[in-house]
Amino acid sequence: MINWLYPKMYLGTTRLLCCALNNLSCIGTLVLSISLAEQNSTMEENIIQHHVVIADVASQSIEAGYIARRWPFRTLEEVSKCESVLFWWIVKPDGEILLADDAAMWQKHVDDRSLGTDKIIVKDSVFYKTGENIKLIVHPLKIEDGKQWTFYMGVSLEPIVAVRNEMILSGVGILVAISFVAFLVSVYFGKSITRPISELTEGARAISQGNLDYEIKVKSEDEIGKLADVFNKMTVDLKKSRAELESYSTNLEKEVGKRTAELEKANKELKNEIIERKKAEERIKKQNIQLKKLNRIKSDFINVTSHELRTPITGIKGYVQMLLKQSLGEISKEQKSALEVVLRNSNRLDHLVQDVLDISQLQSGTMRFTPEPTDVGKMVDEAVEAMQSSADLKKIKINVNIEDNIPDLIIDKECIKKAIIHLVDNAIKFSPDGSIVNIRAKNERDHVLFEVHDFGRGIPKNKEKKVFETFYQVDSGMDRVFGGVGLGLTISQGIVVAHGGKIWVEGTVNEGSTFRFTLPIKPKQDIEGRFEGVDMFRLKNNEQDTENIVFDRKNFRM
Amino acid sequence: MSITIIEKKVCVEYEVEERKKMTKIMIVDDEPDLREMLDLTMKKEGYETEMAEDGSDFLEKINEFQPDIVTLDVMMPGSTTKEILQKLRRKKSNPKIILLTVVRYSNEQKEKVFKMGNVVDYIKKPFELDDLMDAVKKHVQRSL
Repeated sequence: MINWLYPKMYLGTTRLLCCALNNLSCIGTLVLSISLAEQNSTMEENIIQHHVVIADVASQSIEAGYIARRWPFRTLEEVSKCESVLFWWIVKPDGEILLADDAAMWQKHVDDRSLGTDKIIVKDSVFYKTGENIKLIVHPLKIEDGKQWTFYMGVSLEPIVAVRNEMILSGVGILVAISFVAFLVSVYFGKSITRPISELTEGARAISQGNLDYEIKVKSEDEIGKLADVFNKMTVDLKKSRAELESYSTNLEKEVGKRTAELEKANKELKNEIIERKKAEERIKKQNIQLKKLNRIKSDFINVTSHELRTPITGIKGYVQMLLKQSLGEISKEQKSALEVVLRNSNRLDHLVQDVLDISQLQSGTMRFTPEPTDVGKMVDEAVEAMQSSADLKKIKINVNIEDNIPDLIIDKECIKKAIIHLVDNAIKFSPDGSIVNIRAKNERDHVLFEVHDFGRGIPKNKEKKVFETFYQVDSGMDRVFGGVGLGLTISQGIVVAHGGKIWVEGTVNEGSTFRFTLPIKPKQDIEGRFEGVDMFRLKNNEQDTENIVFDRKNFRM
Repeated sequence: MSITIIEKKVCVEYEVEERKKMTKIMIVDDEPDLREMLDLTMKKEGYETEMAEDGSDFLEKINEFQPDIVTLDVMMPGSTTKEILQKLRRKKSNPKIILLTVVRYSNEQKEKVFKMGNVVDYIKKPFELDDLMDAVKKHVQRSL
């Protein structure tokens, strides 16, 4: 019946049924034990009642027999025959057993509180022979007036025990049967629950191991059945999506393969390009090294040549000076003026050699700077003093205007002085006789601005940037008039830029020009780092933008 | 006051002139023309002079001549200035050295140079004769 039922039952119902069965067996046990107890006590009562009647009858027979002086042996025999009666005694008021079913008990004494009672007493006692629990019925005998005789009768409870045992046995049998049935039913229902769960577990394991073809065979309509259905459906979906994924993955792999191939190709091309570039870089490096070497050779050549050139100049100048001092003998006026020409030209040659050396050192980065705190006013005065004789020759007045609030600058005093001298020399060179050259220095917060202003022929706007180029002259035709080879401004520029400043010129044709340069008050770089030399080639390349030449480390050779 | 100063100055000048006659100057230069020009100039100024054409020549002649002042060209073939000055230490003579250099020294280099031997001054080439003579005179005066 259950088998037929269970596929339609939900888990809740099954659980309820199991509970009900269990409860039923419990209730059965309870009812059985209650009814057993009740029956037991009723049976005991009935037996005692029955024996009390027997004792009553026996007592009456004894009373009647005593009066008739004839013991009712027949009745007493009948009493003895009763299965439940174990013994009987007729006890005299003094406790002596006058008569008993067992002759051995005759004339023995009974010590009992119920002796001589006037009403029937039933009490628990033990059988004197076997010690088993019995019911003792004590019945009064009215034989003598004033003296109470007593009839004792021992009643066995054996039959009751036997019956009770039998009943317990049958009850237990029924209980066992019910429990067994309940157990069977529980096992069956338990299995009906666990089997699909195991089935599900197995299925889940199989699916987790990748066997998506596995179908869970649970046909029940309960929750597990539904779960199994969902599981199966999920497996199908999973299978489908896995198939999709696999096809996607295959496509992706193909795509990746394709892309990788493309990438490899591009990579190869890139590598080739890198190799090419490296080769080119290598070539450029070599060329660069070659160039540097050439530049160095050129500088060395110029350095050595300058040195070699200057030594004879020193000799010439020395002897001329000695002659002019007349320490080698007196000289005539004409001789003196001739010697002065020699000395002047020697000086010019000397300066030219010095300029070439300076340019060479600035270009090769070998110019050594010696930075030290410098009083700007003193430095400008020294520069002016050096140029005073040239100015005097043309009767040019040099005005100096240095602001008081200019702090000492950390610069190479000799170099900056040289830069100023070149600017002043330039100004004097292009100023008409008897004019003025103004030199000014101003504190402009983070830098000091120097100005050298002349009233010369000026510089055309389009040539303002070119004047700083090596060997550049605004008007080549004027060279002979003004002298010089056009190195001074380039040197000034190199020195100023190396100090972190900038230099430029403004002017109007025929009205004059103003050269300006700046020097930073607080140099950003370390002093050592600032003066490593400036690459003049780079400066030349910047000719479009000379005005904006601002010092930067790239300009330095490291 | 001013008269006293002038008098003192004249006095010193006189003493310097006197001193010059006793002062020995050695000119060390590999350029013969320059060397001879300097020699002539010094002699005209009243010093006693001797010439050497390089470091080893100088070290050879020094014991005999015992100069007070030496003008030493720093760029000469053979030994370097440093080597010459080191060797000079072992000699008995202890002259004042005035270096004649082509390059301008940085402060650091100056310090180094002045630590070597008895270097008291340096004159940058090309120099004006007057500058050199002033320097020599200064050191004669100082040793007074």
